[in-house]
Amino acid sequence: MSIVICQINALIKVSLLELYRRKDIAVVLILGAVLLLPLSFVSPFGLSGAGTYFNEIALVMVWLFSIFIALGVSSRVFPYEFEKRTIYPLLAKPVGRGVVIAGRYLGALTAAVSALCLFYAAYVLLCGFKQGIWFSEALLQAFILHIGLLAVVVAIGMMGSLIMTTSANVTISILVVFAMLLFGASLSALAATQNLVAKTVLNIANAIAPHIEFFDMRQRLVHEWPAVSWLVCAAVMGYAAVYSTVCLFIADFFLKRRRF
Amino acid sequence: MKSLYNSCFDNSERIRILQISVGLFVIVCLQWGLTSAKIDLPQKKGNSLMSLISDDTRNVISSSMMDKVESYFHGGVKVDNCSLDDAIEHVMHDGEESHGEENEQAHHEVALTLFNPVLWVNSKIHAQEHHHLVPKRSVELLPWIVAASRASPHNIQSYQIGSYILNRMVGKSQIAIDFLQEGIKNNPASFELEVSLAEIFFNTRKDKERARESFEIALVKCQALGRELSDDEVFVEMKIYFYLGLIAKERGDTNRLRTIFQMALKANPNNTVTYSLTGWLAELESKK
Amino acid sequence: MSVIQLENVVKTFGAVKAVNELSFHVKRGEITGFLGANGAGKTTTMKMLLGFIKPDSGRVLINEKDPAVAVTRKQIGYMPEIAYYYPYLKAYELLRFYGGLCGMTKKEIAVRSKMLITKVGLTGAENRELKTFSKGMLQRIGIAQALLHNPDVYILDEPFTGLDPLARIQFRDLLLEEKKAGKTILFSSHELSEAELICDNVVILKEGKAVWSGTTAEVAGDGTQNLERVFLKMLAADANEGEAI
Ligand SMILES: Nc1ncnc2c1ncn2[C@@H]1O[C@H](COP(=O)(O)OP(=O)(O)OP(=O)(O)O)[C@@H](O)[C@H]1O
Ligand SMILES: [Mg+2]
Repeated sequence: MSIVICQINALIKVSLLELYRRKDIAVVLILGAVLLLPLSFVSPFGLSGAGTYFNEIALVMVWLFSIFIALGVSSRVFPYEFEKRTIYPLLAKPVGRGVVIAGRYLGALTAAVSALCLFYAAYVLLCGFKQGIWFSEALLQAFILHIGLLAVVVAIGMMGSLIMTTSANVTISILVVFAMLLFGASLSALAATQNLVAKTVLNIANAIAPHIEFFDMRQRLVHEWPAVSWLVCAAVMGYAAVYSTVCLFIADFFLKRRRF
Repeated sequence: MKSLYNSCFDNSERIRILQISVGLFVIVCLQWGLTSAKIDLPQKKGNSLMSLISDDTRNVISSSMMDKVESYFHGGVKVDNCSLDDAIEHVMHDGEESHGEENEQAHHEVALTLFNPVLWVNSKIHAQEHHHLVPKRSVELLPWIVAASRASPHNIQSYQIGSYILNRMVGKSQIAIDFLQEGIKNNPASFELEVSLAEIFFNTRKDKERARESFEIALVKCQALGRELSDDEVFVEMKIYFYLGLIAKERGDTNRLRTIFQMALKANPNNTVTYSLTGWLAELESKK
Repeated sequence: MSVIQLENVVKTFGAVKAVNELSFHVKRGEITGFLGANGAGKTTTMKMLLGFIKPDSGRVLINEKDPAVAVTRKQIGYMPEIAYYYPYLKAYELLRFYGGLCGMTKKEIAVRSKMLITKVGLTGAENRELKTFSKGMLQRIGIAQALLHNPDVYILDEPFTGLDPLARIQFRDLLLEEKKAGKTILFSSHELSEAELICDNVVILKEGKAVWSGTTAEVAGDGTQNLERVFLKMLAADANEGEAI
C-alpha cells in the first residue's frame, strides 16, 4: 500500500513540474490580465459603480482557462509518453498500469487545481477591488464545485487520450464540455418534445454525458444570489467522483489492453 | 534584461510567446475598438457580401448584449414571460417582485410528477426565483447598453432602454438626453428615439416647449416612413398624439388638437388615446 | 538457477514473425550478450521480458515469476533502446521520479543517485534539464536509472551505442563490477568486440530464432575463431548448418 502512495506521489510531482516548466499558466495568467485590465477601467457614461459585468467576464475567463488547462494537461499525458517512448522506462518500473493511470490522473488534476487556485486568487483580487466583495459562502461553493468540474474534465480528457488521437480527443472533449454547459440542463425537456428516436438519443445523452452545468455557480456569484445547500454541493461532488472513477476505469481498460 | 529573457525561455517558448503576444495585441485592439472607438456615423449600409455579413454579426452581437441587460435585470434568471420593458415598468411603479409566481408554480408541478435528478440538481444550483434588480443598482446594466449601442449603432432598442435606465432608474436625465441624441444622429429615420427624447423633456425636465418640438419632429418622421406600422410602432405613434394633444389642450390650441385627433382617429379609432383626445376636444370646444 | 527463462516464445506482428520459438536461459551472476542483425527480434524479446507485450505462445519468466506483474519488475533494471526521458525534468529529478516509482525512500534515492551520477560521469550536469543533454549524456542517465533501485537483473537494450570510448570502458567496468556483486545481465548489442570482452554467454538471433548460443569460451574454440566470424557465419549460413559448429 505504502509503495502505491509513494508511486502516486512521484507521478503527481512530475505532473506539477511539467505544468510549471512549460509556462502554460504564466502565459494564461498574462493573457487574462491583459484582457481584463482595460475592461476594469470601463465606466459607462462616465458613471462609476458598475462591477457585475466585470465579475462575469472575469469568471468566464476563469472557466475557459481552467477548462483549457485541464484538457491540455490531461489529454497530452499519455500520447506524449507513447510518442516520446518515455512509457518504456516508466512501465519497466515496478508500477502497475492502474497505478500509472491513477497517479497520472491525480497529477493532472493537482496541476489543474493549482492553476485554478491562481485563477481564483486573481479573480477574487480583481473583483474585490472592483466591487468590494472579498468573500461569500457562494464563492467557496463555486470554488469547490469548480474542483469537481476539473476532476470530471481531466478524467474525460485522459480517457479520450487512450481511445482516440489527441486532436480528435481535444475536439470532442471541448465540444461535449461546452455543449453540456449550455444545453445540459434542458436535455430532458428537449427530449420530451422529440419523436421516439431523437427522444431515446437525447435521454441516453442526458444519462451518460457529463453534466458540466451542475458545477456552474457563476450565476449565483455574479448576481449575488445566496449560497446553495451544502447537501446539494455534496451530491454534485459525489457525482463528480463517480463520473471520473468510471472514466478512469475505462481508461485503465484501454491502457491494459494496449501493447507497446 | 534580454539575457534574462533568453535564459528563462527556450526557442520554442519564445516563438509561442511571440505568437500569443501578437494574438493578444489583436484582441486588445478589437476590444478597444468595441468599447471606446467612436465609429463615424451615420453608417451607410453596404451592399457587398462582407458588409452584409459584418452587419448581421454586429446586429447579433448587439442584440445579445441587450439580452444580457435583460438577464442582469432578472439576476441572471431566464424568464420567458417577462419582457424587459414590462419588468422595468413594473419595478419603477411598485418595486414589488410578484409577477413570477405562476412560473414557480409550474416548476413545482414538473418536479412532483416525475423525480428527475438532473432537473433537481439544476434547479438547486441555478437560481430560479423571480427577481428584479433594485433601482439603485441599475448602473450595472449600463456597460451592456454601451456595448450594445457600440456593437450596432442601429440598435434602436439599446438607445430606448438605455435612456430609460439612465433617466428613470439612475436619475441622470442629461446623460440620457445626450445618449438619445447620439442615437438620433445614428438613426435619423427613427421616430421612436425622438419620442423617447421628447418624453424626457416632458416628464422629467418639465420643458414643455422642447418636448413639443421633439414630438412634432417625431410626428414628421413617423409620417415620412410611408409604410404600414407594426403594433409596437403604432403604440409609440399613439404616444405622439397623446402628448401633442395634451400640450395643445394646455395651450388652448383647438385647431391643432382637432388635427391631432383626426390623425389619431385614422391611426387607431379604438384606442384610449383617441378616446382621451375626443374628451379633450369636447372640453375645449365647450369652453369656447 | 535460471534468472531469465524463455521457453518456446512466439510473437508475431501481423505477418512478421518477430520472435519464433525462442528458448534460452540466463543463470544468476552471468552476463549474456544478445546479438543479431537489425530486425532480428532483440528488442521485441526484451519487451516481453518486461511484460510490455505478451508472447503469443510460450513462457517468459524472471526469477520464475511473470514480469507483467508489477512486483516482479522490482528486480529488473531496464534501459530502453532509444534513450528519451522527460525533457523538462532535471537529471536528479528524473532519478527522484523513478526512485519514487520503485518505492525507495527519499534518503535512499539521494544516496543512490549521487553515487550513480558520479559513476556514469554526469557530475555537474545533475541540475540541468534533460532537454539540454546530448545523446550520450541521455544514454548515461539511462544507465543510471536502470541501476537506481539496485535490482538483481539488468535488461539493457543496446547500452553501448552513443557512448564515447572512455564512457564505454567505464560502463564495461561498471557491468563487470555489478556481475561481481551477483547481478544477472542481459544486453543486446551490435558491438561484437564489446560483447566478446565481457560476456559469459552469447545468444545470436536470426529472424526471431536463436541460431547460436554458447559461452564465449566456445566462441574462442581452437583459437582461430572469434565472435565476429561466428556471427557472420551464422547470419550467412542456414540455421541448420549453424548447429554443426
Ligand atoms: N510494434 C510492432 N509492430 C509491427 N512490427 C513490429 C513491431 N515491433 C517490432 N516489429 C517487427 O519485429 C521485428 C523485430 O523487431 P525488433 O525491434 O525486435 O528488432 P531488433 O532486433 O531490436 O532490431 P535492431 O537491432 O534494429 O534494434 C522487425 O521485423 C520489426 O519490424
Ligand atoms: Mg532493437
